[in-house]
Amino acid sequence: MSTFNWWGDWRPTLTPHTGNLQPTDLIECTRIVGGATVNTAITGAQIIAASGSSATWGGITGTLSAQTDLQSALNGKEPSITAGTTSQYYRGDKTFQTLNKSAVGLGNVDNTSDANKPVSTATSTALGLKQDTLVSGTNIKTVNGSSLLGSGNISVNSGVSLIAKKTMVTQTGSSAIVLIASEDISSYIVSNSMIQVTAMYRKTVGASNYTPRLYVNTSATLVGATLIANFGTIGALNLINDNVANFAIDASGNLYAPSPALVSNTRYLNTLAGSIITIPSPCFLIWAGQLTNSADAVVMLNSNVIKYA
Amino acid sequence: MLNTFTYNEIEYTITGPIEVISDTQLHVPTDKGIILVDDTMDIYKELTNG
Repeated sequence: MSTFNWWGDWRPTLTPHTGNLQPTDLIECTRIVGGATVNTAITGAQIIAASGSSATWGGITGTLSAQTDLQSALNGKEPSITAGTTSQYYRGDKTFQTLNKSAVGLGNVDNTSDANKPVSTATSTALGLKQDTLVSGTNIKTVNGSSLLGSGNISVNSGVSLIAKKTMVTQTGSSAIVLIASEDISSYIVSNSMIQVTAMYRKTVGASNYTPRLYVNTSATLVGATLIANFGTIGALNLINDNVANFAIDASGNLYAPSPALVSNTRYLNTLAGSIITIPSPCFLIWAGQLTNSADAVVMLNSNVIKYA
Repeated sequence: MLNTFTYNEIEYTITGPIEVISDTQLHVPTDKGIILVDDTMDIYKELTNG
């Protein structure tokens, strides 16, 4: 630090103040050099530089109350926080509050797993209006024992099935019994059922008698066939007859036929004992007839075979 | 007189008079119903003494 003597030279214009030491302050001091006093001027900047940039802890003397800056700074700090509990959190308003679901705005949360979450009242009400699972025969009816459930079409068993239908079959040219139509009815032979054959014939040529008959056999042939019905005989030209024959099937697969040895006229069955016939397997129903004059002709207008379950 | 015959491994017992249907056919009453027998069956000749 250089020194110089103010006196005899000049002095700067200084304004006294009572605040903290400023770098521009000028301090006059007297020192003794070689037994003689020497006046020296020291700037505030020199003192600050010599003592460091700021005060250090431990270097401050006096009472705490005397440290006004420090006290002011401390006064600006938060007071000590008294610990709460582990179930609390420190809220923005500087208070400890219970840490729960309400604290985070989730008061309705009850920690239920997704799988166990109940549905809303509205959803429950809507579901309550829906049809229960359909259980055939329990809350949904069946049709003749057939379930309505499932895909595809339902086969409604009314108990009556049309097995076969024959139309406009002409027989000519033989005095022997001639096969004019046949139908495999094997799949319709069931226990405890009835088969009904209706048939209408019209004599179209000649006036000889014609006797339509029904047979069953294991194939579509008359050889070895079993006669199960004689229909009404027609003779006169253009005469039309209408015939019905019923056959009962028992639980053992026997077919009960009206007495075929006799001609049963339209809708009448004779009073003689009928035949109990073991149904052939496979079972072919055969329409046949006999023209006494081979030059005549007859037409089977229509014949239906119906099964009653 | 023949009173039984076998056809297609089934034995029939004739139970009544035979009805002649035509030159080639018979109606034979049996215990299993009335059977149409024609001249292609062995029993036909026996029944007609042919």
